[in-house]
Amino acid sequence: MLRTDDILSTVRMLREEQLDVRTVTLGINLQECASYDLDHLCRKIHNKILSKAGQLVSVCNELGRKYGIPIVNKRLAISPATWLLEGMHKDAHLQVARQLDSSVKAVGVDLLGGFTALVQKGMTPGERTYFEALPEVLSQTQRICASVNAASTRTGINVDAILLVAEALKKTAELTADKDGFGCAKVVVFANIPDDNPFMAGGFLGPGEPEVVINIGVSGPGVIKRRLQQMLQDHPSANLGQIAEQIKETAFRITRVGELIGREVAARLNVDFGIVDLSLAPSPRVGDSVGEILQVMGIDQIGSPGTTAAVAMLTDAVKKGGMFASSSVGGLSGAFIPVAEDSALAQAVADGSLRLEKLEAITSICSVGLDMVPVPGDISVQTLASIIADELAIGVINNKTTAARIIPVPGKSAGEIARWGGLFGESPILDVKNLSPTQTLVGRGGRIPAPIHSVRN
Amino acid sequence: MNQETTQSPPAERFAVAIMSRDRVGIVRDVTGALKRLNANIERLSQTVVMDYFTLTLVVSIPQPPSVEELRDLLRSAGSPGEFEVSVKQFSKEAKARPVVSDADIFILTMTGVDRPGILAELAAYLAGKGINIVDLYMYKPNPTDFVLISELAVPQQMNADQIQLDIEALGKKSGLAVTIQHQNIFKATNEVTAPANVF
Repeated sequence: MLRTDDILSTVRMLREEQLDVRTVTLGINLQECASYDLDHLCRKIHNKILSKAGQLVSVCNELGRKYGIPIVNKRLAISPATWLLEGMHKDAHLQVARQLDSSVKAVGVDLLGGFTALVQKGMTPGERTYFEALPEVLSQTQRICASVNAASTRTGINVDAILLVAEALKKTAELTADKDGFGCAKVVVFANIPDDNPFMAGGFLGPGEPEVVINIGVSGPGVIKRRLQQMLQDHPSANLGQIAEQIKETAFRITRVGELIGREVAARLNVDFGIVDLSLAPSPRVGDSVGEILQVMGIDQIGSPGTTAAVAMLTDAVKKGGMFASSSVGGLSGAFIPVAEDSALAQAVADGSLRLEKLEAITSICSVGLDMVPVPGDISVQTLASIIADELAIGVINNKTTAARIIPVPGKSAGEIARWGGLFGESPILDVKNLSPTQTLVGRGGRIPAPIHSVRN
Repeated sequence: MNQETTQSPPAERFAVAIMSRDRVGIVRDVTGALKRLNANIERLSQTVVMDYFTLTLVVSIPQPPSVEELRDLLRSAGSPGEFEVSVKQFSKEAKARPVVSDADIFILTMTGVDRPGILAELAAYLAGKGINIVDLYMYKPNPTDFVLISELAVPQQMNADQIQLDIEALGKKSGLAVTIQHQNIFKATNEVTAPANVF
């Protein structure tokens, strides 16, 4: 039998430290549903989702009970919806989105990602239509998530696309003004979008992925925080190397849990197993915060000097532990700093110690992006687009994924609370001053060329 | 360990258990006695529980003594009254097979305030369901509380969900914290090599 302290430690991880599998995401390629007859297309989409995902929730629940580990979210990720909508009218986008929404509800899954446009270099007419339809898609469906790849290290930054996204975000916010602009919480703009990300809102099934595949998002900021607290109680003078080691070890265990459950779900459903995404993904639930890990590490005021170094160390240690645990690591595998979804981060915004500029700096060393960031409702398209362009530039030059999920909150200004509830949380609105109309950089449009290191031959 | 000698009466196997207050030299004394019988030790397990030593073994003895003779011989390997010895003739039907075949191994942990009867209640429930206790370990981290960890063979056709619910109810009723999980979780999170049948 295993050593008793190992057993008790694992039990503690599951019972007290709130380890869970954050998401099991089933990727489904919908290309075979293609049809110019919209009703036919919708029927085929519905049938494919039912046929491939019909058992997902029940299998997840069963395995969650077998292992005593809750699978918190069950999600779907589809091949880019724009690939099914080329040549169609704007209304078709909404109809397909509604069909996806209803099929998702029929199988009992929480969210579906993949209402996606890959426009990192240019755009098709259908993709232009996508941007026109996006505000209605986001405001008139509940469970559909959208994503836009507007830049990549290989292609540069498609600023025209960023401008269209910014306009769509403003419109979406207006259409969901009664919910503090919530529609914008369901769309993410990327540089270097990953093809196998199980988290939402940015998850989709990328080109080259299997037809049907299971990707897992583990999590466990709470586990890491509590292990660190325990370690520091026992060794108050532990140095940074020792802290990194403890994080690494804990990440190993967390990742193993995710892979174990993920592989069994895949085997039960008779589909491929894809990857484990090691991201530390917080939720508004107390004790499930990345910010709190930073505080335990020794950052009193999140956003103050030392924060970037701390997140760099945390993310790196998580990756090392996770990659030893599993040979199938993918997705984002970074530290999420979703402001509204992490109570400690939201508090730091309220206290004034965490500002947009610091968030941006942190995204350069491996968190994923400016995530769940509420901004004043009167933000200009130009300012919004410029923030996004800055974020994507970090990703493009550093050959990593970066993303922006920014939510203009109509009728509210900096310091007021944006409130979305549930997993989406709440946060004070960050202070962003609109650019003067004479600042025309982003407004010039076009494409920022690919960086020099994109030429790899 | 001796080589079995030769052709004469077929060797017999015995299951032996020896319990004694722990001291240096018990294994020497016991195995010395076995050597004089040309006995071969086929399998052996030893533990010490709160200063009491237990040795369980299966031996094969050519020109086998009777059960009573073997018992007396092993008793006399220690000082008078020191060793408690049990001997059983090894059953012809006994095989190295699990008592419950086609089973999933689960790990049960139970913690809480100690009192008489806890293990009896648990064991009664498990036996009633046909679940075999494969391994069992219990200790007290402090004078009031106890920790119990058990490896259970749960027949595959059994509804593991129901067992979870029953165990939780048992725990609630007795005011104890009880959990039961498949062993793969423990192996996956504690061992470098991932569980083979899954990974």
